[in-house]
Parts: sequence; C-alpha cells; structure tokens
Amino acid sequence: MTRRARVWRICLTALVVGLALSQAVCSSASLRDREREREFQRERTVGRAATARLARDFGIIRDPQSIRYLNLLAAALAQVSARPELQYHVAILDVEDTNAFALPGGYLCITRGAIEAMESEAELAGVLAHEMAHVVLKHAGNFQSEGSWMELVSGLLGGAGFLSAAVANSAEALHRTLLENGRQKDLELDADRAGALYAATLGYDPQAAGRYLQRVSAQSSAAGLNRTHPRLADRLAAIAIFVEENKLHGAATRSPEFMELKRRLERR
Amino acid sequence: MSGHSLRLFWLASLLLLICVAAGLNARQWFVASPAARLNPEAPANAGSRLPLGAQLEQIGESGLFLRVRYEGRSGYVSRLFLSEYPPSRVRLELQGSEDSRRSPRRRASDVVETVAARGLQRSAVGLRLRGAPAEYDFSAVQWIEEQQYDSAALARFLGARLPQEQ
Repeated sequence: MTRRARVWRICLTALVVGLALSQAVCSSASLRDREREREFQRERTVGRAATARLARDFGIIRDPQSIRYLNLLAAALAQVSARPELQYHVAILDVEDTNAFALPGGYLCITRGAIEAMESEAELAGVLAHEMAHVVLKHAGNFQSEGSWMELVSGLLGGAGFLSAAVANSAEALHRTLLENGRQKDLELDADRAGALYAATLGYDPQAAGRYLQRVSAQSSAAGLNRTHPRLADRLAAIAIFVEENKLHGAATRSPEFMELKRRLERR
Repeated sequence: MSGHSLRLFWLASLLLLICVAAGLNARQWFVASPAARLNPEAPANAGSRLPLGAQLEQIGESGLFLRVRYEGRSGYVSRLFLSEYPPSRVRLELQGSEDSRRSPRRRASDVVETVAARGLQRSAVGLRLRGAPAEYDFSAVQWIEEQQYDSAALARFLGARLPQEQ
C-alpha cells in the first residue's frame, strides 16, 4: 500500500470514528427532548379521545369551583411524582358508581359517587394519586409514531373530533380496559404503592385510600371497580406492607375545600 | 504504517466504538421529584435528599427500588421518583395559540382542503380518518382543559399541606 493510500485510510477511519462519536453525543440531549415532546403529544391525543369517550358515556359535572380544587390537588400531587412537568386535568363524571380512571397525557376522571363516598381529603388524594401513578408509570404503554402524515393530520384535526384510525383504536382499547377488562394485577398494585407514596409525601395518610376502598367495595355501586381491579384483600395487604417497609405516615386531612366540594355535589 | 499496525488501528477503533455505545446504553436515570431520597442501606424512601435532575447510574434493582450510584455513593432510590429523561425545561401542555384551540373545525377544514388541493387522495397518503360525532364528547374535554389555576394558588395550596421538613 502506498503512503498516500495509508493516509487516506487513516483519515477515513478518523472520520468514521468522529462521526460515530458526534452522533452518539448529539443524540443524547436535544433529540431526546424532542422525542419526549412528540411522544407526549401522541400520548395526549389518545388520552384526550379516551376522556371524550368517557364524557360521552357518563356526562361531566361543569362546576368550575370544584374542578379548580381538584386540579390544584392533582397539581400538588404531581409536584412529588416523577412527572412534575405534566399538567393534569381532572373531570367529575356524573354517575353514581364509585370509580376513577386515569387516561394518558394527564386526564384524570373521578365519579360523583366516589367523591360522595369519601370522608376526607386524604382519601381523595389517595385515589387521585393512584390514578396519577398509572399515568406516571405509563401503564397505558408507550405511544409510538403513526407516521408523519397521520401525525400531522391527527394533531391538526384532533380538536375537531376527527380521529385517525390508530388513535380511535387506542382510545377504544383503553375504554374497554378501564370499564370491562381492567389492567394487569401487578400494574394496579404498583399504582397502589405509588399512590400511597405520593400521598404520604404530601402529608396525607397513605392508608386513607385503602380505608375508602374497604368502605365502598361491598356496595353495589362498586361493581365496576371490583370487576376491573385486583381483590381488595390483595390491595390492602400490598399497601400495608409498602407503608410499613417505607415508614410512611400522614394525616386524614378534612380541609374546608374538601368539605365545600362535598356540599356542592350534594346541592346539585 | 505496516499492515499489522493498520489492522490494530482498525481493531482499536472498533473497540472504542463498542465502549462508547456500551457507555451510552448503561441505564441512566434522572431524579424527577423533589421527594427522592438516597438510602445507602436498604430499599426505603429515607436518607439524604437527591437534587432534581441529578443523574444516577443503575447498578441493581430491588422491586420498586433501584440500586444506583451517585457522586461516588451508592444506595437505593424509589423508581417512582425517577425518570429516564432529564427534567423538562418546558411545560408539557396544550400546544398552539388560543385562537387555534378555539376553532378546531376551521383548521380541520383547512387541512382537508389543502390535501384535496394537492390532488392527494385520502387513501394515497394512508389517511384514514374516523369521524367521531356520536361516541366522543370533545366539547366536554375542551371545557375541562379551560379550567385553570394560577401558580400563586398552587403555592398556597402546597404551603398549607406539605409537611414541615424534619
């Protein structure tokens, strides 16, 4: 090999190595940020559609003062969760059943019946924290790209009520999971533990959600909740062990805002 | 440079690339919650607080807790307070201007017209849209999204509830 060829070969090698290194470094921060934002937009599109589906099924209670309080409670819990940057939107579904739902992208739905059955802000915080944990831990899965055209059109038309087939299918599947099939047992128990942790970090009794579940699970209004969640005994045991292991504690707060929320729902 | 040296050089470059790739693929986590604590002894949320955004290297796993290394120290931290991504500098919320949010039907119509004007058939671009008038109530979702609060209200709310630091 001539000297000139050797020099060219070395230069080429250096170029390949340099390109590989720069590619690796550049791919870390900015690309990851952009990918995260794209993934969030896809997550939110599905969550928005699934929320619209629940809102059509049950109707929502349009009381700005109550929703403002629930949004503040969710925002406070978000501050101690692993996705503090996410803005949560809470809705009250106008139905007697005692249940709550987490939708991707930060939409949380809780039923009127559930709030009416609660006795303290700690119970409300525990239930919201459980639902929030499903969102934080991405229990609805990751949201892959639909392709640039579909993404563009879904993004632009989403607000109008037009859904791409992929988004509609995801929303339908989620709807069936929430109302009929339920999530995997392990995911629910993880959400119970995470909910207890978030609630306790904010000063609430981490066992309050368990007490609420114990009170309502025997009622007929909890049929849907029981059908889509693990056995109550398993849930209570998982929470109790986790609370004990991590020395979590808190108080069963009965804030004036919580009592006002109950009064406003009763007056309807 | 002899043929032997050149082979060595290529081999070294390949090894370097493999090392860089392996280093980048080592599981890294970021502290995403001010409640995260590093406990040197056991999987429990106790011990010293970790700063938001701190980068941790995973060296093991124990249920909901990860064994991690941080600034030369190792310990357990709850997976619930960690994220695979560094904390975002932007708030993830509704994108677009107020006007564009209020007139989605107009934007929808614009897009459909643009697609038609370009002579693109829906099927040609894999565009399968599903109108959803009956089963979805997007006006309810829009109302939910419009219910906002200010940061001062959140600060007051948190101030009244967060337990005092021990």
